[in-house]
Amino acid sequence: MIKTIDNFLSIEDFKKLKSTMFDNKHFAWYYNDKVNDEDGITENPDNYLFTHVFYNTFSNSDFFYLIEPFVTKLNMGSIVKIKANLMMKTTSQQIFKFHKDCPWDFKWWTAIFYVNTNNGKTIFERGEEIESRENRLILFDGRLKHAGTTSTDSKRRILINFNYLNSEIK
Amino acid sequence: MKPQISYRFMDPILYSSIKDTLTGDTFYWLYQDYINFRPSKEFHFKTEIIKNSNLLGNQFINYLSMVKPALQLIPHKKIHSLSFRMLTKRNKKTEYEFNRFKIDTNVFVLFGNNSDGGINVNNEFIKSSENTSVMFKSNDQFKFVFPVKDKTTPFILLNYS
Repeated sequence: MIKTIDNFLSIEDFKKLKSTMFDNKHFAWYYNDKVNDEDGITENPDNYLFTHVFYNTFSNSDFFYLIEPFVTKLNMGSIVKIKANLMMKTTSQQIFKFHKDCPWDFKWWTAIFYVNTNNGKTIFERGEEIESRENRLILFDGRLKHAGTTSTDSKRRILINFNYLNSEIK
Repeated sequence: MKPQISYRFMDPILYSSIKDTLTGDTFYWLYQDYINFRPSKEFHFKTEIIKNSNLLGNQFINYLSMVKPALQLIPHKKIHSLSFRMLTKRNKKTEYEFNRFKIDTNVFVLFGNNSDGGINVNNEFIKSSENTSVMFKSNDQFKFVFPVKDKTTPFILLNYS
C-alpha cells in the first residue's frame, strides 16, 4: 500500500524547512553524476542531481533539526538514511530507473516528502504515479520498486527521501 | 585585449586533484538563484573561498592548499576573491554576463572538465577543457556560457592584482 499524506508538516515547520532548503545560503548540495547508484555510466546529460545527506549511519548535517518533526511523526525506530535530492529542470521529463533504495528482503519503510510543487513524479513499477505537491509525504514498503522523474516546469525539484525501520504513524 | 589561454596550465597530477574535487561528490556547492545579484533569470552553484581578500572559513584551508599549485603559477600580489563555480545544463544556448570584479584588476579561470560550456571574453568563446586556463582583465566583457549537451561546467574563478 502506498499512503499519501498531504499537509504532512505543520505550516510553521514546513515554512521553516522550505525556506531553508530553498534560500539558506549555507545549505550545501553535493553533485552526483548519476541519479541511481546502480546505473552504469550514462550518456544521458539529464541524468545527474545534487544531494544533501541529513543522516547516513549518523547525522551528517547541520540542518538535521529540520528532519526532527519527521522522525517524531513517522515514529522512526531506526533510521537507515535520509537525504534530499535536488534535480534541475529539463526540457522533456526524464524517468529514471526503477529501484529499491536498499537491497534487503525484509520489510523497511521508504518515505518521500515533496518540498515544492512541480510536474515531477514518483512512479511505481506496478503503475501508481504520485505527483509532487509541496508538503506531501508518501510512505510505502521499501521493497516496492519506484522511480523518480525530473520536472519541466520548475527550476528546482526538491524532495527528501527517508529509509527507516519500525514505522507507526502517529 | 585578447584573453591569454593556456591549454596545459599546470602539472597534470596536481591538476587532477582539482578536477576530481570539482567533479566529485564530496565537494559542497551552494545554490545561487542569481549570477551577480538578485533577482536574476539565471542561477548557478558556487563555493566562495576568499572574498574581499579574506579567507571565509578554516574549513576552506584544504581547498586553498589544493589550488595553491595553480596560484603559484600566477604572478599576483593580492587575491581579491577566489571561488569555485558550477554551471549546469541548460535547454538552449545561454550566456550571462558576470561583472563582480574589482576595477582594474586581473581575472583567472581554470576549467574543471571537458564540456560544451565555458566562458566568453570580449565575444570570444572559450570552451571548457581540462587543465585549460584563461587570463584577462577585469574590465573585459566576461560571460558565463552554460553547457547544453553536457551536464556541468565547473571552474575556478580568481580575481587578483
